[in-house]
Amino acid sequence: MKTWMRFAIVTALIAGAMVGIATTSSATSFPAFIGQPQAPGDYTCFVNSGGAVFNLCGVTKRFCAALLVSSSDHNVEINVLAPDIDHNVACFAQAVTRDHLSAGITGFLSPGVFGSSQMLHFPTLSVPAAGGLYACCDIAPSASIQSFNY
Amino acid sequence: MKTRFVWLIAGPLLGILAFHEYRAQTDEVALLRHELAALRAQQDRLAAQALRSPFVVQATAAPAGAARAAEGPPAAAEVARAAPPPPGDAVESEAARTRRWDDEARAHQAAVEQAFADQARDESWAARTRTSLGERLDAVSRSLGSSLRDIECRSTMCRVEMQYRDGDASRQFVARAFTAPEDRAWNGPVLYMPARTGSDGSLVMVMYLAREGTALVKQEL
Repeated sequence: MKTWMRFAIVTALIAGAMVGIATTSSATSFPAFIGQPQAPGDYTCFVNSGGAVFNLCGVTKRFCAALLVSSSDHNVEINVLAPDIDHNVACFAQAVTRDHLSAGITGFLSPGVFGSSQMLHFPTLSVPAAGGLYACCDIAPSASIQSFNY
Repeated sequence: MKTRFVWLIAGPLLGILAFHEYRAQTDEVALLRHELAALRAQQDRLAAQALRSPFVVQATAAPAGAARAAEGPPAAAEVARAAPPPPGDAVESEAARTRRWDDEARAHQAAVEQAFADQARDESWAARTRTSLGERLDAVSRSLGSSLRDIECRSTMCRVEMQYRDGDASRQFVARAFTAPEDRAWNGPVLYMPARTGSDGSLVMVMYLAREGTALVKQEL
C-alpha cells in the first residue's frame, strides 16, 4: 500500500510539472519567409528555401517581419545563419504604439559564431495595448534568417 | 487492488489541480503587485506633471493616442477601463483583455522608471555617456527640427527627454538614432514612455536607454 501511495504521489508531481511546463511554454514561431523586404524594390534579392530567407544580392539588405501580439511583454528570438564575419546578420526588434510612435527598441544583435544556425536572444520588449511588434534584420550577401520566435 | 487503482487515477489528478490552483494564486498576486506599482508610478507622474509641465497629459491611459486622441474617439484602453466587466463572464472579454494588456505595459514602464530611480550613479560612465550620447542625440534631433530637453545617466541607464516637432519627426529620429544600419547613436535597449502632446502639436517623450548588453529591467524568464 505504501509503495503504491509513493508511486501515486511521484506520478502526481511529475504530471503537475509536465502541465506546468506545457502551460508556461506558449511562444509563437514563424518561419522567416513570413516577412518582407524593407524596400519593396528588394523583393528580387530574397529567396525562400524551406522557410529561411537568403539574400542573393551583392549588398546588405534589410528584411522585416510583423510579429502578431495580444499581450505586452515579449522576448523575441531570431534564428540566423551567417557564413562568416564578413557576411553577417544584424537584427533588432521594435515595439510601436497603435498610432505608430516608438514604444521600445531592443538594439541590434549579431551572431558571433559562423557557419551554423545561431539564436539571437533580445531583451524584453513591452508593447502598449493595441500596439504592434516587428523585427528587422540587415542580411549580408549569402547570409540568411530562419525563424522568429516570441 | 481497487484502492491502488483509485490512487493511481486520483494522484495525478490531484497534482494537476493543486498545480493549477498554485499558479492561479501566484498569477493573481503578481498581477496585483504590477497594478499597484503602475498606480503608484502614475500617481507620481501626474503629481510631477501637474506641478511643472505646461503640456496636457493625455496618453497615460492610452499610450498610443498621443497625436489623435485629442480629436478622435476615445482609445480602446479608455473605453475598456470605463466599461464595467460583463457579469459572470467566464471567458475573458475583449475589454478585459485590453485592460490587462494596458496594465502589463504600464507595469513594465513603472518597473523601468523604478529601476532607473534606484540605480546608483557611476560618475565616470555617467559623465562620459551623458556627453557623448547627448551630442549625438542633439545632432539628430536638431536636423529634424526637434530638441533634446534633458539627459541624465546613472551606471547602466540614461533617462532622456526629447521634444519632437510632431509624430513624423519622432519616427525619423528613431530611424536615424536607433535603427539605422550604421552609425547609430545608441545600440542598447530603449523604452519610450507615453507621449505628452503640447498645445503647438509637438510631442514630449521620455525614454530610458540601457547600456548595450544589459537590460532595462531584470529579465523574467
